[in-house]
Amino acid sequence: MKNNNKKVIVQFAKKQYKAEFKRHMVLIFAAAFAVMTLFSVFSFAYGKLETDMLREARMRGAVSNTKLEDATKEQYEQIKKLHYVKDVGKCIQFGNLSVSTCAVLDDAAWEKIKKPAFTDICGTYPKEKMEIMLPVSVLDAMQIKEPYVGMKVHAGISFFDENAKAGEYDFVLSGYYTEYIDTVRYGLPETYFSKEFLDSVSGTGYPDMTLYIRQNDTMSGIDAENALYRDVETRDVNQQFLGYDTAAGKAFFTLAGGFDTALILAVVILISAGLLIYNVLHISFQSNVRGYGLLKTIGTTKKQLKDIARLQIKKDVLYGSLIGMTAGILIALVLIPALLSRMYLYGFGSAAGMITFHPLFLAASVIFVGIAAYFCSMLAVRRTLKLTPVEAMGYMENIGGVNLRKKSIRKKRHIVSVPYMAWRNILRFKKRFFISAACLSLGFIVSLGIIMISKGVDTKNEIEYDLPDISVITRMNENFYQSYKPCDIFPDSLINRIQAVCENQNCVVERGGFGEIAVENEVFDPVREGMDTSIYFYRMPCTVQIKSDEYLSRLKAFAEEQGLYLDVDPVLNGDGVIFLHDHRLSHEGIEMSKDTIGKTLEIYGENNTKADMRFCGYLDIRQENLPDINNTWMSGNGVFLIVSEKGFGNIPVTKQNFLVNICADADKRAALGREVKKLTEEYNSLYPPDEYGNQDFRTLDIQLKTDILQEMRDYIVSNRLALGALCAVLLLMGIVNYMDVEIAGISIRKKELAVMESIGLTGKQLKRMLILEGVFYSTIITAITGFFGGGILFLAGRIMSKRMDYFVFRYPIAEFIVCAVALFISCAVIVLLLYQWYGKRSVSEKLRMYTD
Amino acid sequence: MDILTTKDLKKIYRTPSGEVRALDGVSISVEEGAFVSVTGSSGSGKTTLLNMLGGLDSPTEGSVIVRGEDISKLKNDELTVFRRRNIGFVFQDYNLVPVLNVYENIMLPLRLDGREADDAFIERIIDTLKLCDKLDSMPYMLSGGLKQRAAIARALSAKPAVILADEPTGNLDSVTGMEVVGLMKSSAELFHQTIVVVTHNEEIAQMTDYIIRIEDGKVRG
Amino acid sequence: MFQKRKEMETFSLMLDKLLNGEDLDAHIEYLDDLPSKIRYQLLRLSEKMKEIKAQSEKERNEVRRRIAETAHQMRSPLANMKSYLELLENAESEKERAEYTKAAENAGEQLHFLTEGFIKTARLENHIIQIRREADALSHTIMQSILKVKKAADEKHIFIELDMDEKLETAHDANWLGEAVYNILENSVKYSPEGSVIHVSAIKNEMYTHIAVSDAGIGIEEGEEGKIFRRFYRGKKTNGQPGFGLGLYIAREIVLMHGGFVKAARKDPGLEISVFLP
Repeated sequence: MKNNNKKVIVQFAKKQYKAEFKRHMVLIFAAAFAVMTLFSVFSFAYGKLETDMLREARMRGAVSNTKLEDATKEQYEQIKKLHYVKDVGKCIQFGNLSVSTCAVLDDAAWEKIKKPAFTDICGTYPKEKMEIMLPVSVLDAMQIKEPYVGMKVHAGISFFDENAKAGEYDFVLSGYYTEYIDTVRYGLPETYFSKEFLDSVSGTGYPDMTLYIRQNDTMSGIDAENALYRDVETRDVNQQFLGYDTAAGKAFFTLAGGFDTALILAVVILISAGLLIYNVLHISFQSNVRGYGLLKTIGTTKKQLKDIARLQIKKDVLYGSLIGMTAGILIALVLIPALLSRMYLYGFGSAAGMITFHPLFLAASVIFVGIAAYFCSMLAVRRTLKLTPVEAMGYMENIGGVNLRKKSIRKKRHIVSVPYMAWRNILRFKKRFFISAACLSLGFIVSLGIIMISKGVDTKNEIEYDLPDISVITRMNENFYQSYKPCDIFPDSLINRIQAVCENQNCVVERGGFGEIAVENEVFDPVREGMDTSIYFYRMPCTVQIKSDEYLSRLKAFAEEQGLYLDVDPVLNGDGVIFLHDHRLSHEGIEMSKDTIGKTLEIYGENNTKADMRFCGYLDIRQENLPDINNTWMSGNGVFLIVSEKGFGNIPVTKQNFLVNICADADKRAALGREVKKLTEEYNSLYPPDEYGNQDFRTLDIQLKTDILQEMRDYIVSNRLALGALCAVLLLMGIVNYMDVEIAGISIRKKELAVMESIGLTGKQLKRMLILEGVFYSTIITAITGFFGGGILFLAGRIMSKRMDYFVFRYPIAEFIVCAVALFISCAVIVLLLYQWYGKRSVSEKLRMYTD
Repeated sequence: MDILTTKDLKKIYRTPSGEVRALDGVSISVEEGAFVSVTGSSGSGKTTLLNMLGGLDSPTEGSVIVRGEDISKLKNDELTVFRRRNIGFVFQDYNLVPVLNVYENIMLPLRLDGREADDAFIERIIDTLKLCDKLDSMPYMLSGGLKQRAAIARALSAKPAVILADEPTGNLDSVTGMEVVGLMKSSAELFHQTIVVVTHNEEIAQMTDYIIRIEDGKVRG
Repeated sequence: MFQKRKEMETFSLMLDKLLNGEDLDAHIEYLDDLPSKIRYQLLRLSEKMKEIKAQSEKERNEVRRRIAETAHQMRSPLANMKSYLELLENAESEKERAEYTKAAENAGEQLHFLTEGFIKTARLENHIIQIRREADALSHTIMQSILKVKKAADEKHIFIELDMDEKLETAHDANWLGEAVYNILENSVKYSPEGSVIHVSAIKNEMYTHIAVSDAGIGIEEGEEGKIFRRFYRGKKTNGQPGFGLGLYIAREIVLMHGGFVKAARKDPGLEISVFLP
């Protein structure tokens, strides 16, 4: 049965709390700051993730595009059961309508995979036979300006299956939606039909079904692909799993370079907050040691002392949390949505409906801070309680506790000067110093790391790396060519004019031609299934592109290095070709391709002319770190061959210009871009679209990096802003930690300073000493950050480079210097402010006030 | 009856420069109601002895018996509670809890045990010690002498059997010092307690019933 | 629940023991819980009861002793008186008659003095006498005492010096304190050699008023400082001098009743007796 002495403890705790309120203000502030920053940072990160995910999904037109083409029902069932597969949807693409692809989706594909990538959806997915759902962009192209559900739409469809009759139909609009698909990368948007309609027009059976697979977001594309290959049997050699990161996965990746780095970052932030709290509490308790010692002498038990501590820390956490919560909520409701939606989703729809306030995070932050505070305070109290009352009462804070058991004898004698005193003052409390130094350095290093990573990862880098400044490229591929041949798809005259405009700039022209190959040739076995043999029985058109000898030599070295199944020498010699494909080989297929090397491939030109070339292997354009090929369009399942200049001379194919890429100087980019764009548009006006709105493939496509950059600009800017804020937060935590240490330090040292003042330490000398302390401290931090940080950053850079080939590592020197300077200034300023706050009274008053 | 006894008490510190024998086999006994002083030069071990008597520190060897209880055998919290109920302390400085006023300080040991105060008794103490008009003051407002008086009042308030004072007059001028000791003496007589005072001041020692002299950790004479 | 009942039963047992006047087991545990506290309180109660018992025993013994002592002390003068009265009866000459009458008178005086002392002591001890403290000029009181003892001092040519602030005021009972001071002075005079000086001073401190009486007399032995204030105690050096050893005792009681205390300090030569009044 407990003793009836609770009241005194509660009252005493209250009294002590009131009397030491100033000290508690520091604690409260630390708690509030921790809650606020934790909450804001995680809310923001989560918000950014969501926005990025939305953006990515909208850009792709799907939440995930991991897919399996030509899938069977059995495979569908199998995949559905896999534990790492969240959703599986069926999609059948069967033709073209205007500038869209015709497709039928099942419920899962529509609801789970496609729909979340669209906005402003009116109406429903087609159910009746003649209902269709169109993207607004297509309606626009069809000159339908004000669509409404139920309106009649007259449109023409051309089918992939040649047995089905192309024709015009009267449809009813069951719905329409807005999409933001990047057609360059992800193809045309889709018009949706009901299954009945497909059934009614489909000729010789179903066109092949594609399965859209959404794997767990934490699983990368490559991992998903490998896992699917492992767990599901492919129909044949040619069937492929194509794995990509999900939109969410990619967002995570972009934010933090991956789930593991994100985790590390989160842990670092939590540790920072925890260190802050620990330090503050530790210091606060140090000044209580003597008091606790006295209490113990009078007869306060350990439990009672712990209760006193507990009661007080509860209050601090409570007040701190309230303040932190209010600040955090304000930020979450006001600041974050502004940042996110205005900037991030620019051009990709709004963030309306996206909730940025997650009470869960708030609760989690408060709980974390509460637990950390409680835990640290108990630790601090424990240390106090371990001392015997004698030791506790003799505890001199200034010396940091003289433990009679460990008397150390200082052997050297030093000349006592102001700098010397400043130096000794800093090192006085080793543990406290290390912790706050660690916190600040950590914050500094992590911030620099974030800056470095984000700069390296920046989409800008991606763009810089991938694309030339100006690119004019034909829309033609070997299939379309059949409708237009013979024609000069990209006249020399235009090329010359473009080059003339861009004189002295780096212009690269890629050339090649369109020929034919025999379908039955065994070299095509690895990809046979994918080849569209319904139209082409014996011969199939192919694209042949010329690559320079210099490029081919690089490719040779690359192939050897990577151990690819390629024989580049014959290509260099002029009698070999390489099959370039977009990730079309299954794992078996890759093995099979080994056997194709050395076989003969006939290439046919006009008038049945042909040439025999040696087949030199398959090259996946997605091979990591492959030197940039600058290829022209690759048709989905077509044949794309690479030859040397010499080799092209040996085949009877008419030479065509495919594209011209210009890398211009930074200052001329914009102007030249405009010029070339004008030329291109002028040329394109020669080939207007037909009455259905279908475009003419003789037109040329122009891509200006500046345009893309423009779109990306806002994204990049806000990205940088966000990360900058994150860094600032981390640094701030470190500085707040330092500030707390100093504040507490000053209040402890008041007595000692008063004594020194009475002996003769002038105000000026005191200022000097304090400033020097700040300077020494900053120097140490900067040194730590420079050495350790440099090493860590370098390592991190290496890791990042491996993951992303477009990653650029640069040590953020400018930021380092800026931060270091800021650090110096803030350390000194803080100390000066504290001095002001301390210094107002007369010496004797101070002596009286601060002695017992 | 003997209220305080030590048997061959030893306290040895190990330092890098060797062993320090603060107490080297001290055996004393104090009878109930006595007013005793412990004297010796600086570093003789008298403070250590007092700390042992009060359970503020633990001996390396030997035992301390207070009111029939071997306190060297008590565990931490037990010792604390024992102290609370049986021993009152007065130190040379830093006696009062800074966040409580004088009255609250005096009442603290009782409150810690959840016990009711003997109001008449407390009033008598406050009267004797002339603290009546300082009850609401905070410690930092008081002079040294007043603080010590308050400390004595606190030491007396729970009617402990033993009062231990370590250089209680150390920070006071000689006149105030004499008064304080005189007060302790008359209080002790009035309230029938045993008092052990550590002092290096011979005059004060003379006021006590008898003197225990400590030199180099041992009892002299 | 079961635990609580057991505890209650133990307490009941302890209380019974107390009521029966038995001793309690002195060993208890010191824990910060209610049962431990109650046990401790019971132990203290038992001690207190024992103390009260011992105290009353002591007092009873005291009374018995006092009666014995008194009787003993009175025996001498009574015997004297009886002898002298007998002698008086058989006296033949006028001179003899006068001598014997005087002697009997002396004895009577002694008896008177003794009984007065006893009564005073008894009254003091039983707190029948109230000490009324009023802030008064201390100098007045001390002067009175000095005057009272002057006759005896003059006989020995002892000079009494008073050093104090005339205006010094302190709360005291003029009569009783005066008596106390007189007793001390008388003591000093009795044991001081001829022609010596007795120094009296009074100073008011923050806490106390300090009255000091210093003489250059025979003084006391080492270790007697506390003992001389005991009843009937006669210092080792006083052999040969008349006295009962009551004076200082009464003085001390009076001072204690004022809430102060007395202190003796050996001097070389002589003795200083201090009175501290709150």
